[in-house]
Order: sequence, then structure tokens, then C-alpha cells
Amino acid sequence: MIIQNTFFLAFLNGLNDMNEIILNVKNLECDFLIEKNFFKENTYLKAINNLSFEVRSGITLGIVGESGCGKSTLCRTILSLNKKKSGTISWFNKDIDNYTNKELKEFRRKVQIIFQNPYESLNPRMTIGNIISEPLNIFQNNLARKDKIFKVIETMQKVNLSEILFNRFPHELSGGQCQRVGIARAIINNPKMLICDEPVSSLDLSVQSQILNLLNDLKDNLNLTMIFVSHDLSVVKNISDEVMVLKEGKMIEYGLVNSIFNSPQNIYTKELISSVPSPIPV
Amino acid sequence: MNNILEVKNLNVKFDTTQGEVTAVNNISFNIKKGECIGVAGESGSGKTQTFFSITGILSDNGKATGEVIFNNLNLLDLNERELTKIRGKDIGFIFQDPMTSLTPHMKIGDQLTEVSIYHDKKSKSESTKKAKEVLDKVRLPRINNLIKKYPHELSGGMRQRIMIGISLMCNPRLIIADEPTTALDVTTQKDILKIFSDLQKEKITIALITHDIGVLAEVSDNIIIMNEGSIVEKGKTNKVLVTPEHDYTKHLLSCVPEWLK
Amino acid sequence: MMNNDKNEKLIKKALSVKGTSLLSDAFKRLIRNKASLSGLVILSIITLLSIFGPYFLKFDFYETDWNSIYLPPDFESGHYFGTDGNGRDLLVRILYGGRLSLTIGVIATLVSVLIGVTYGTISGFFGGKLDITMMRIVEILYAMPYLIFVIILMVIFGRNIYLLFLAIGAVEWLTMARIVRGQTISIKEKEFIEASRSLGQSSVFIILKHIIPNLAGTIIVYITLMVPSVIILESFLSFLGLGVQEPLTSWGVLISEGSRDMETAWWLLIFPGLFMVLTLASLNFIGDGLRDALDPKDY
Repeated sequence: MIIQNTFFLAFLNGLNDMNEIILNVKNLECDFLIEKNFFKENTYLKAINNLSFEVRSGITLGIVGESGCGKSTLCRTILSLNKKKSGTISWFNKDIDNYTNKELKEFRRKVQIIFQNPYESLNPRMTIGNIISEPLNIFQNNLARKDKIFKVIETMQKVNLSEILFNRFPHELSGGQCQRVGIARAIINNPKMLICDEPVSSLDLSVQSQILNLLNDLKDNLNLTMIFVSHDLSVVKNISDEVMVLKEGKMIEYGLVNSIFNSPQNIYTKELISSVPSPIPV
Repeated sequence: MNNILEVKNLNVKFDTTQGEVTAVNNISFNIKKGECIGVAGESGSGKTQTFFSITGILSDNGKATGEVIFNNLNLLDLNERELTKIRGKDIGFIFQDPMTSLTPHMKIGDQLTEVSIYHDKKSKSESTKKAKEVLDKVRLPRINNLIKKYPHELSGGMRQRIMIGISLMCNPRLIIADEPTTALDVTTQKDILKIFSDLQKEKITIALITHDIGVLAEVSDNIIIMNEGSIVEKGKTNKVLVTPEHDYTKHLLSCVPEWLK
Repeated sequence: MMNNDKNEKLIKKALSVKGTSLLSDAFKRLIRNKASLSGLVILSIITLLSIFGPYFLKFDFYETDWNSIYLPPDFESGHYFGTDGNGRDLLVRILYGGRLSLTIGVIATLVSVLIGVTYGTISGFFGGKLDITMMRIVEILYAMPYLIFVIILMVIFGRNIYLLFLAIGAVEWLTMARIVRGQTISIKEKEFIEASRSLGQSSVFIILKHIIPNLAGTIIVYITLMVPSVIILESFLSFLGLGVQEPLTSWGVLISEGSRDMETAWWLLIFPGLFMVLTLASLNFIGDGLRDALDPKDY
């Protein structure tokens, strides 16, 4: 694991006063059950192998890697949707293992996720309005019905969704629109951090750039911290401040986005970067 | 005549619960022998349906009209039996998802040899010899056991190479590849693109359908840009990508995330 | 809330446009399928006849007439379908039998659906040891000799229509539970369930609001295929003499009696049999049509 030393440390020192560390992952290990054996021990695969990193407030951390590197597992483990084998995850310096049920619920409100497949992440039997208002029903159930509807419409406008889609169903919407619904659902309760798990990988090129621009705008307007996971290096390059490269559950390289892409140090990182076909013919 | 494939006024319409939908709207283009032509467009542009209709694998509620001239025949006039003789033999098709395109219960070797036994009426041993040659061509390591393995024992990249191999078994005149690298990692994609480059050097005609502009820039000689069923621009790859003329092409290229400084 | 008027307008505009749910879309496709449509029409006719028909006929289902025993179908006497060995009008008995068979079909199915869905979703959703235990129970119950069980119940409690409901419901829910459990397990893995969990949603809510509505398609199809199965089961029990008691009748009873007099009084078997076959075929066509209509492949 190589950290781009000089500039990064200086950067960190400069940031120290302004941006506190909001998420701290230490020595994280996650196992994947491959085979259940009756007589001998079960066979596990190390999905995440002794991973440690920090996320500062206001930063977009890009996580890149190929399939099997553990980036999706990492997203779900941070959110406690997956059990971890060992290690600590701390949110604002408090270990989430020690959370009470109430604190866990509050954590869920503050850390939200956007998924890859726009259609699969929405319940096909629910209207758009109901999908986006689900978080309100969990956290602000005492709001009047009219106020809830208004808040949903307000959020839909923030993500550039027309309000007449309120009663429609996911299958009546395009991929880009569905992804906006997912984003609306994630931001309606004003989260502090947004984890984006390959949010544009299933989208067309023009829609992709719209959604990326939307995420950037939301990040500025709502003061969000983002973790952006993708296998597409060009997307990560254009949206991240800092980048972490994963391979088979281990961190290969970590640094500022420009350092990683312009002067990668690790062989694997170099290989990844050189494999991307250039859109401008040589 | 230098053209392998000539498409004239192709229209593809679908009969759906919402009425008739036009997927491909009166398009015409030619593919020259030995060239690699890239077909770019977003979902709904009709790029896949164009080639599905050329090979006769449109779904039941689809109807294609116009002319598709291949081997001096209009493919749209042929019935299923006649098309089956051409598919797999003269025209090879590589599908998008290598996970689901191979038959899960058949060994790799059998899937490779099946094509040439059926079309070229070759014997099992001749086919197996050809299969080994083809595996070399797709840069798969010469493991004897590979032929005996099942698809689920291989990685996505290896499966895709097998798919390319199957399409090469009968020395096709034209290979159509539908998003061949979309489901693959970027390093695997690089290897697959190298294979396409090798095939190009052997003057095998390739039609590459993809939405990835980078892939097209790397591999194709000429490019067709489609939008909502029509061709908006076509020409040499270098020219279209560097100096696009149509507004849609300009818009599409502006959406590509900046990669080179 | 500032600017209330503007907000009101916005809310009104948003709520004014209605989407088409998957179910309404499926219904449209069901109607287009000719076999299902005819099934729906025939089933509706038979149901309406069974409910309202008897009011328009002169005879009652228990009315015996020793002067008119074993009469073949005869327009003038009013016995359109003939009479049985006790001089009772066959048509009115078929319609009454229809009431019973259809009621048992619907109610027993609904009861097994309620039990089966609850059991299956809990088992499938929570998984682990609970799932294993619950499924082992189902398998053991499956293995029990059903008919002996029913006979023992009949011997202890006597022949009773409620016992019939119980006996049928007790076996049908097992299949539903298994199917629902399988579907729950596959739905559970979907991303929108993960999304709901990430929002902090409770398990109960996820089962009620997310899993069960998505099971609706499968459940509806199995209901239409289960009702014929229940009707046949009831007929079988009645055929063996374990079902409803005289003078109440069901199609099973009528077919049983009719088969005895088959050679001399063919109408006693043919007409009840015809009604039964038409109903079962209609239900099967509807079930097939629903399965095609609810298949989201076309989206």
C-alpha cells in the first residue's frame, strides 16, 4: 500500500482544521461464505482484507477496482447491511458496533446509499411518490400527509424530476429517471454522507453525464460527503477528490486524484490506467 | 464488388401493447470487406435491433422490411431454414453477456465443435483440431483440459473469448459483436480488444456494436452513429470522433468523461 | 408552509396523473388472451347461474316426486335436465351443488392462502434455523397419509361441512407455504429490499409492503390453479362418501350418484360432469392467461 506522501500529507495538514474525519475504517476484514461443509470447516473467501482508511467531511472518495475487489462488499459493510468478521468502523469517532438501536437508526438516516441498477433498486409495485416518501414515513412519521407530499415533490424538483411522475411506476420511467428517484429517496432526509455504488454504470452516456452533474450539484448544495465506487476509471477521475485502488480486498494505492491518475506508483494501478481505451483516436 | 453487406432502407417495427413502435427507421449503410465498422448509439437507438434483423433473430412481434444484401441474397426474404444455414457459418454473432450466452451443461469443446460439425459437416476429430487452432487465435492458453471444462468453471473474460472462438469456427465472412466487452473488467477488455485487432489484421470483417466511444476509437476503421432509429452520422472513425458534424454526435462526445489531459 | 396556494396547486398537479400499475396492465393483457377471456365468461355464467338460477326454477333441490323418478331431460315437465332416483330435479341440484363446490373452492383456497403466505414469508424472510425448522414441519405433514387422517376426523366428529373445510385447508396450505417461501427467498435478494433495509425499515414492514405485493403475481396464479384442485378434492371425498350429507349436494356427490346409474340414466352423470369440466377448464385457462399476463418479461 502506497500513500502519495508529500503532497498528500501537506494537503491533510491543511485540511485538518477545516475537515474533520467523519468515517474511520480500521483493519476491516470481511469474509464471504463459499461452501458449507458438514464435517470440516466452512470455506470462506476474504472479500475485504485488512482495510483501513478515513473519509473527511466534504470530500468525494473514489474507490476503483475490478470485479471481485470488494468494493460493493465494502459499501454494504459500512452501512451494516453485511456482517464484518473483524475491524472497526467509526462514525464521528463512535464505533458503530456499540450503537444502540436508536443510534443505529439515526446512523441510517445520516448515511445513505445509491445502487447500480436503477430498476432493481425500486419496488416495481410502488408508485414513485411512495418510494421517495418511505424514508419520511420511517423518520418523520408525525408529519401531516400534505406536508409529506410536499416534501417529496420538493425533493423531486431538486433532482430534476417532474412532479407529474408522482403516481407513476418504475417501469414507466427511463433508467435515468429511475436513478434520480433513487437519489431523491436517499437525500430526502438530509444525509451527511452518500455512498454511490456504481450509480452510472447501467446508464447511457448522455444520461450518465446528467446524473454525474446532478450528484456534483447536490454535493455542493447539500454539503454532502461522498464515497463513489466504480470500475469506470474515467468517471471516477472526473468526480473524485481522493482515490483508493482496491484489488482482491486489499488497498493497492491511495492518493489525490491527480496524483493517482497522472503519476501512479503501483504496477497494478499503472496497468489499470493503461487499459482504458482512449476516446480520442491515436 | 467490395461490399460484404449492403443494407438498404431497413425498417424494423415492433407490435407492442402500446401500439406499433419503430425501432429502426429507414437506414442504409454498407460494410466493406475486411473493415471493422463500429456502430455507436445509446439505448433505444436501434443499433442492436438492426443486426438482430440482419441475422433473423428478431423477437416474434418484430417485423423487418427493406433489403439486406449478403452473398447476393436479400436476407430478409429468406425463411428460417435458409437463415440457419448462414447463421454461424457465414455470419458469426457474439453476444453481450458471456455469463449467459454459453450453454451451461455442455463442455466447452463440444460447444466449439458443434458449429463446424453442423455447418461444415466435419468429423469430430477435424472439428477438435480446428477448435484448438481457434483457441490459439483467441489467446487462450493451450490447456488440453480447457476443452473438457464447463462454462461455469471459467471467468467472464475466458467465456467471452470462447464465444469469439465459436463464431470463428466456420471461417465466417462477417462477425457481428454486440457489446462484447461491456460486461468485462477493463483489463480483460484490453485483452479482448487485442484479439479483435488480430482478427482485423487477418482481414476478417467485423461489425462492432457498442456505446463505449473509447472501444470504437481503438478498434474500428469506420463508424456509424445512431440515434432513435436513424443514422445521424457515418464516416472514418478518426474524422467523426475528432471533427463531428451532426449535433447529436457532438452532444454524445461531450458526454464522454475527460480522460486524456 | 409559506406560499400555500402555490404549494396546493403543485400537489394537485402531481396527484392528478395516474400511472398504470403492473396489475392493471396485466389485466388488459389477460383480456386480450382469447382462451382466458372465454374462461372468464364461462366461469361468470356458471357462478351467476349457481347463485341466482334456483330462484327462477320451479323445483327445490330437496323436493322429491315419486311420480317422476328417473325422468330423462324433458322440456314440458320443467325438468330440463331430468330427475334422479328420488324424483328430484337435476338442474336445480346441479346449481345448488355448484354453490357448494364453488364456495368450498373459494373459501378453502383463501384459508390456505392466508395460512400459507404467512407461514411462507416468515420462513423465507428470516431464514436460518427458523426456516429449517418450519420447512421440516411442512415436510413431515406432507408425508402423513392424508386420507386416513380425514377418515379419523370424520369418525371422531361425524360428517360435518366445516370438517370438510378443515380437512381440505389442512392439506392445501402446505403447497402454498412452500411456493411462497421460495419466492420470498428470491425477492429477498433483490436490491430494492436492500434499499429498504438501508433506510432503516423494520422487517415486518418490509414483508408487508415490499415482499407480499411482489408475491401477488405468483399467488394469484396459484389461486386460480388451486381452486380446481380443491373442488376435485372435495368431489373425491364426496365420491367416497366422506363429504357433504344429504340432502345437501355438491358436484362430487352428483357425479358419484350419477356414475352408479350411468347405464340407465345417462343424464345424471353427463350434466354434473359437464358443469364440473367447464368450471375446471375455465379456471385453468384463466390461470394460464394470468401467468402469461403477469410475466414482466415484456417490459
